[in-house]
Amino acid sequence: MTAANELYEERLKRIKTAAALEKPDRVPVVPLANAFCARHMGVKMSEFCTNPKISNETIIKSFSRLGEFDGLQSAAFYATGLSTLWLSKVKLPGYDLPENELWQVDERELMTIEDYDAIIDKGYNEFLSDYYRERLDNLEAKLQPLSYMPQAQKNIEDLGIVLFCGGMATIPYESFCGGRSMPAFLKDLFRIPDKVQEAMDVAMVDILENTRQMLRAAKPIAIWTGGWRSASEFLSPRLWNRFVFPYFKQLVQAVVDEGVIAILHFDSDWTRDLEYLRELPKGKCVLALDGATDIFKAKEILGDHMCIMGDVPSSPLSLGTPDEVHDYCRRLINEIGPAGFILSSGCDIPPNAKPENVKAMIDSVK
Amino acid sequence: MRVWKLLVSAVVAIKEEKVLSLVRNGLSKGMDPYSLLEDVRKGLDIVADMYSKGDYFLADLVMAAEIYKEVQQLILGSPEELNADSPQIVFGTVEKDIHDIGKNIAIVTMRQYGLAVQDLGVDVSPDTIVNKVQETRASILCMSGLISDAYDSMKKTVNLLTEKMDSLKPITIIGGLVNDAVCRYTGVDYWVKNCTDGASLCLKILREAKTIPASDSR
Repeated sequence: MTAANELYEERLKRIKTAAALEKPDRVPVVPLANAFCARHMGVKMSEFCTNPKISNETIIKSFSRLGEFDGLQSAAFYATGLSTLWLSKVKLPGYDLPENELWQVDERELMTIEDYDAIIDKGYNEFLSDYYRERLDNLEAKLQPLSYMPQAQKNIEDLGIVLFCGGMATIPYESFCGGRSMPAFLKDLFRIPDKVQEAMDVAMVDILENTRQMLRAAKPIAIWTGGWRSASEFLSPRLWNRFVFPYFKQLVQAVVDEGVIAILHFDSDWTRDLEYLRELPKGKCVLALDGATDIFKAKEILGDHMCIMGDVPSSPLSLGTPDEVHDYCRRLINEIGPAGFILSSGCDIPPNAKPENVKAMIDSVK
Repeated sequence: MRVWKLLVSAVVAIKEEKVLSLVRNGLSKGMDPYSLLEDVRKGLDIVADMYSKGDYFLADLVMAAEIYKEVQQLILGSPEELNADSPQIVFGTVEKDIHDIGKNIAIVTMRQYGLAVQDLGVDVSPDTIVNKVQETRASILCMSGLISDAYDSMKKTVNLLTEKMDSLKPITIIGGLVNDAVCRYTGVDYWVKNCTDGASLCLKILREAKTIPASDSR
């Protein structure tokens, strides 16, 4: 066994131990960073986010300077791929934006109210195929560069680094809300709730099957099953219990049934509904928070049920000092860990994070 | 009295069709359109208040504001451009950031509070913001941003405002993914966590500046 292989196995064991709610030899640290790596290495954002090979090389180079960590949540990045989750176009640096700006999901009402009927009549996969072609400028063809992802994964694993997130899947709420735009979609929930629910139920059949196929082909350790639009802070319990949680429950169960860890990458504030997450399979999910949900409350409610990951927020990483970041990380390690906890950034490390702050986060687990 | 109660409670219960039918019915019976609109606003105030207290959520606020907008359109015609030439508040998502959901909802809430707001859109440069503030003489500048690159754009805008307007610059407020540290970094006067806090703060500032009479009940 090579040194890199040994290191990989040691780190994988550490992460899996934490995910299974047990106490590893030390708290694992598994950052998520994309745009930060481009700025850190002086790579043009326009090249980074449109070429997975370049983003893979840049991520590896950037993190090789930031200390010893266990895994990454992203081996490469391809911004256009975001369109598949939120059914929106993505504004790209170098094309729609200056070449060193951050890519941004361009939310517009691309999905019409009639599309709910189209989904119900045709099924979700067929609807998506038309939608990608007609409203997302032939998205299917633009996704070709994603074929580099298995190689990107191999490149980081050859260095002994675990890829902790090997795919993405989400619930119909997130995609419909992105396609309709948030204000229009929220009004749909009041005006045509039965129609929206029927379309969600139809879409869910294909989403579950597509996810199973993806997991069987890629065999990842864990995948991103998350969102932000469906967060508790935006919806009454009545709407959340009807349009959000039942679908997450189905998705998570399908992922877990395939032997894969479901990373509940929950951005925005989900504090109100943490108790419901106890209905998800015990020791099989990782709740990844971004600083908006009260992570200490999450520990109190879910500490004996699911591993928690996070949640160093953007603001201290970009505006704080290494000491401030270190102190917050130690607090997380002591209060959320040491069992069932993975240290990470809250969502993505921001592009203007100071490298010394990212290093302080990584070093804090020692 | 009965219609008032029905109308206010229909808005609070977020029953769009019921509100519209009550308003149409009231108008057909010759009721004062402005009283009807005022009742819908009272209902929306209650919704906004419940949102601030955490009893209602963004979806409820968006729908209640939509109902108000529909009634406003029925009674006054298009409300969007009311006072557009002499706004009290200029509002934009700063340069490098194209997120507009938070900004749009905040503007709807502010307009519902009776404030005149000019929407500058998204990805607005410091130059454009400062020019607009100088041109309109707005008392308050609200800036929104959801990505961390927005911090620098906010800071640049504040610096340019200070350079060009010095003591005449407006009160500055930021919202979005911001906190106390971002407030200090950018040099703005205030930061707010949500749109009702933002609207309440603007009302307070304008009252203190005596642009709005203190007797206004909101």
